[in-house]
Parts: sequence; structure tokens; C-alpha cells
Amino acid sequence: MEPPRWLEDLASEAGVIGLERAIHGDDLSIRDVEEMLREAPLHVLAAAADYYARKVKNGVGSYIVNLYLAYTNVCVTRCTFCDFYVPPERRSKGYLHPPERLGKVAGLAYNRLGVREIHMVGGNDPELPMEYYEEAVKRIKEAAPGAVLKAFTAEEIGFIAKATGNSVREVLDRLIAAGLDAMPGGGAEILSEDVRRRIAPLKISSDEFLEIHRIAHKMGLKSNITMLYAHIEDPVHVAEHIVRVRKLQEETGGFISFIPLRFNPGKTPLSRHPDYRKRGDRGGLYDLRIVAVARLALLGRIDNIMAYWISMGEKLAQAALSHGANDIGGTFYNESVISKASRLEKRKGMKPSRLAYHLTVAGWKAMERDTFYNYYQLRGEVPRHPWMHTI
Amino acid sequence: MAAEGYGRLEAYLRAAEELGYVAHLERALEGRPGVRDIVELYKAPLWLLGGIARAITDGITGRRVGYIVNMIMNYTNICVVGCTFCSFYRKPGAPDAYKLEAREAAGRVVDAWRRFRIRQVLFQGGVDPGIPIEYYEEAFRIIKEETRGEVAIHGLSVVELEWLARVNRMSLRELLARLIEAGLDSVPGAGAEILSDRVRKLISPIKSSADTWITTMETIMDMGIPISTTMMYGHLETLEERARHLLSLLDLQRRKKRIMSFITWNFEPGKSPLGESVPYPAGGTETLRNIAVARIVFRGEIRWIQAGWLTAGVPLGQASLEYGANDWGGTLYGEKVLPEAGVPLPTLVRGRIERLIRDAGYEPVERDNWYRPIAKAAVGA
Repeated sequence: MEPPRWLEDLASEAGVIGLERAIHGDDLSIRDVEEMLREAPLHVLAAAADYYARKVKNGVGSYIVNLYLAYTNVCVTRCTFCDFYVPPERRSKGYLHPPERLGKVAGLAYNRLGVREIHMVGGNDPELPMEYYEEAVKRIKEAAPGAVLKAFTAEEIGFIAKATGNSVREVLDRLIAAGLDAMPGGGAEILSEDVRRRIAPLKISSDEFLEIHRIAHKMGLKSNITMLYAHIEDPVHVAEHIVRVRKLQEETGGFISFIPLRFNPGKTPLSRHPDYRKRGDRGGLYDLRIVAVARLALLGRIDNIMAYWISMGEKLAQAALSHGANDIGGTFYNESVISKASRLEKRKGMKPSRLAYHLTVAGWKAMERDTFYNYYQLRGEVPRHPWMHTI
Repeated sequence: MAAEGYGRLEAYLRAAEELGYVAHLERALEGRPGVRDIVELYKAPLWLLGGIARAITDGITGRRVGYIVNMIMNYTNICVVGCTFCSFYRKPGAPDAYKLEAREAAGRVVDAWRRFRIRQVLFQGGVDPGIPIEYYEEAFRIIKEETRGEVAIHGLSVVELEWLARVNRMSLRELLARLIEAGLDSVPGAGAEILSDRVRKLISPIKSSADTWITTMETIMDMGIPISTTMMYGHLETLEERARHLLSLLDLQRRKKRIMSFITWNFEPGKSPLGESVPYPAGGTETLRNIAVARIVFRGEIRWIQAGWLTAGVPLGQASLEYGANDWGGTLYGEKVLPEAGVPLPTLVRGRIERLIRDAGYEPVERDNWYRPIAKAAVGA
């Protein structure tokens, strides 16, 4: 990789070795990534991340029209950052959508809203049999045959395997046979074992989590990968997470995009943790640094970095599109999990034209995409105003 | 968390040279940018504007960021001006129109002073021709008397002042003299929107011309009253009009020297009529871009640029500190402050705001209405 001279000069003047290595596409250690996150001046980091984001994506910024489904909120895993779940002992306060209902909602969204993707996740409920998941997948695919079904995080796959007495491979085999197209990236939290154990003690380990993605990739199933930040982690944990993801990607090539997720404290137990209170939410600059570092540390490995508006907020997400992100996420009709903790009552989702508008204002050629980043023309007009300019 | 300031203007200027922006930047840094220079800067990469704006700001106030503990007193939502961008106003007689009695409006300010030790009230409302000058005199006197003069009155706007003078059949000078006598300390910059008659005809047809806004502010400053200035972007304006707006303010400052600060905010469509043609807010890159360009144009000549978090949101407000803002603005906007055991409320509200500024990597400094730092010990409970 050959950075332009002005970028090389800026980076060398900043004196951050990790950054200099990153802009040349060199191999990066955890230490390199940590140093970038901690020490690189924001605008130099942004210069490098924004330059490469626009270069590798050829100026095309994207969003997806998608539906969000959460099949149940009953969950035994009790993650400290979650405001969404209901534990099994209070099952009557929770819900479970039968497969028929999931199919019906998917069909409506597909036929009326033209969704290209159905994103489905749910709680870890030990009482659900394998057949439930298979049936859900079948119903959804029948009702929305042209949409990509991206469902079940690696955490859920691991749980379903344990709960139903199947191997991970068997679970994936059966779900793929039923029609599963891709896996979402949720449940990664922080892939640094100590921190992960503290915020999600009952989740599978980071090794197991990555192993499930590895197995899925080798079976031909692509996936996304998330990272939950701004809770009790330190920069070194973010760095470890990113470097582990990068290594797996170098091995399998199966990750589609990297999705940083801001922790929204809401009324979660984690919001009351002394280590969280000490660190605070670390402010909007942290989001921008995370996005920029992710872009640079994953350069040439995962070239889709998302500014996820649901967790970051719409305005900051647009700013992130000039700090290394190339995608603003989905319309997410019906999102409920993060909205619950973030007090953002955005369950109706965001209009496609609104997402395209934010991309345009941030200087991108806005296009619609599918789960796998195949691009499509926009539907409808994007508002244009006299002050808008493209850079 | 955030890395230390990177005050190396030279490095960014070299990058600007390769990218073709250096001539525009140099003219701006020498204090003589033209409209075209500013328009070109608006099109520059955001990081470049940010790097330069932050380096300039480092040279003015270092890592310090001011804030003021204040409240907004919107004494009425009745307004006859009918700006198309406004979702706040109600016509006289509307079922949800309200107007506080002078005593009630002042009482709320006094109450906020007792509880939080506020230093300033932003006293602003709609233009209700039924309100006489005595209303303001009474409210201002009560505020001054009952707070031992500790609450500064940053109040009214060019538009309110013009109407008030007309309704009371006085000259602007007579009106101002009476308001100053009653306690008016400074005048906020609201109503500037975009200082272009083309845009004003579209978004606020009944409001006075751009020239009138300027001459009114000149009169105010001639009477010794400092002002703040504003710009509302992200609606029907062009980049040229933004550039001319910034240049008008710079020129005004050079002539009158009493502009304390500048704040820029985006048009929020909400349910306003203008929202039908401009349905979405401009967004974060525009927030950061406008702040950075303003800093490059004003440099230290308008020393304080506010973060404008009220429309931008707190996270973006924090980010704007890295793009040339050096003042957080006010703090109490109707949010609920719940008491914590053993922490006096004045300390609590200051602690919260200081945390937000520190989280962004800056050093908070409480200030007064005139942007002078307040010694820590002076903030009693």
C-alpha cells in the first residue's frame, strides 16, 4: 500500500509508529493498534482513515433496507449491558414469536417495504427445540424469498448447540439447509477474555465465539463482526479485539463488515458498575477514534466499517462517515434491543432517503446495498440543498 | 482518553498545499479571506479543517474550555413573526400559547439561582406585541434585586428589540437605555439566521433585513452592551451566503469590538413549515465543518466559539471541541437534576458539565456572562 506523500508526512510528524505501519498496510501488533487509539492525534487519524475509506470503496457509501426481528426476549445469559432480556423465571413477562408470526412479519416487510435483508436475533432460551429455529428460518424464507436472511449470532449458535445437544457444525448445517444466508456479528462484545467474562460472564468464551465464526466461514457462511465499546474496557482490550478479528479474517476471509457498537447505559447493571462510572461514557470523540482505528487496523482485511446510527445516534454517525466509516447501517425497521437501553425510540426505523441523505452530506456517492455489499441504485429522491457539496 | 493537542499548524499547511487549499487558508490565517476562499474551505476535507482549526484554537485558549451555569427563560411562545423554520412559536390566542407574568418569569430565575447558583439567564421569547416595556423592566429588576446582582441578563434579540421599540413608540436607543437601566447586560445573537436578504425572504419573510440586523447590533454595541453572534445553517442557504455571513460578522467585530462569541447551529426541521422542503437535519459532518470554518475565519478576533450541543447533542458537542469550539455554553435546559447524598446541587451541576468536557480531553473553566473565568472558591453552595 502506497500512501500519498501528505499522509506519510502527517503520520511521521505525529510520531505514532502504529499509525505509520497501518497506513502502509504493514502487519499490526496489539501494541500498534493500542498506540493508535491512545496517542494518534485525531485529525491525523481521521485523515488516514477517511482517505483510505474513500479510496478502497471508490467513493461509494452505503446503507441497507432491512427488517429487525427479535424472536424472543427470554434469555438465560444475563449480560450486564442488556436492558432487553427477561429471565426464564419471569417468562410470562416476556414473549416468544412463533415461526408463523415471524414469517408473516417478514412477508409484510418484504412485500410492502422491499427489505433486502432480514436481521434476526433473540435471547438464549433453553426450552426452544432445534425444530423451532429451523421452522422460523423456513417460514421467513418462504415469505421473503428474495431477501437475505442474516440470523443467529455466534453466541446463539453456540447456545443452540448446547441446548439441543447438537454440534455447532450440525446446527449450522441444519439452519443452512432450512435457508439461513448469513450470520450477524452480535455477541462479540469485547474479545478480550477478562473483560468479556466481567460484562457477559455466562456467554461463550472469546475463543469459542471466534471458533464458531471460523466454522461458519469454512462452511461458506459469511458473517459480520461487532465490538461493544465505551463500557469498562481499556484501549488495549479494543486493540486485542481488533487484532484477533483481523487474524481470523486473514485465515478465512469470511467477515463482511466490522460494526462498532457503543454501549448505551440505560438502566443496565453495567451502568452502575464502579469501573464504568469511573470511565464514564468517554464522549463522542471516542466513537470517532474507534471508527478511525478500526478502518486503519483492518485495512485490506475488512474494508466495510459501519457507523451504526442506532447505537451512535444519527448525527454522530454522519460525522463517523468522515472518520473512516463507509456505511451507515440499515433502516432497521422494528429495532428493539439497543433502542431499549439507549432511550432512542426509533423502532420505526429510518427512511432510506434519510440514510442516503446523510451519506451524501458526508461526501459519499450514496448507494443501497445488500448484506454482501452488492450495490444497487437508490430508490426515490435524496433531498438536495444549495449548500451541499461533494468532496 | 483523547490524545493531547496537536498544535502543529505547519504539518497541516503542508498537506493543504498538496491538496490545493493552501492559498485559501493562508489568506484566512492572515485575516483577509475573500468569499471565494471561504467557499473553497467549506469543500475541504473535514480532517484538514479540523486540524487547522484546532491548532489555531490551541494558540488562543489552549486546552481550556469555558462553560456557564445558566438557564433559558422563554417567557412566552407567542410570536407574530412566523418564521418558517420555527416549531416553537404559537400565534396569539392559540390554545397552547403561554405567557408568564413578569413576576413569575423572574421568580423562576431567582429560584434557579437559589438552587444552582446560576450566573446567567438567557431571557428570550417570541414577539408578542401585547407586552409593554414595563414587563421587562419589572422582570429584570426583580432578578437583579433578588439575586444580589449575581445573575447576568443575556436577553432579548434584535427582533424582539425592534418590535419592542416600535410597539412602545421609542427609538432603539431610548428603549435600550431603559432596559440597561433595569439590568440588561448583553444581547444574544439570535435572529441572524443567515445574513442574506434572499434567504431571509424565504425563511423569515417578516423579519428585518440583514442590514437592519447589523445596524441594530451596532447601536447596541455603541451603547456599551456586548453581544453574541449566531448562524443557522442547513436550510436554503448557499455556501457563498454562509461565507458572506461570516465575513459580515468579522467586519462588525473589527468596527465595534464587542462581539464576545459565535455559535452556529443547524436547522432542526421538527414540525416547522420549512421542514417540508428541508426534511432532515444537516448532520454531524456539517456541524464540525461549520465550526472549523468559523474558527479559521475568525481566529482570535472572535475569541469564543460555542459547541452548540443543544441542537448537535452532547457527543457531537464534545467532538466539536476538537474542531475549533472552546466554549460549552450553558448547562441547565430543563433537564432534571436529582440530588445526590452529600453533594450540594451547585456542585453537582458543575461536576456533570466538567465531566463532559474532561471526557473529551479538555480542561473545563467556569466562566461568567462576559467569558471571564470564575475562581473555584467563588462557587459557593
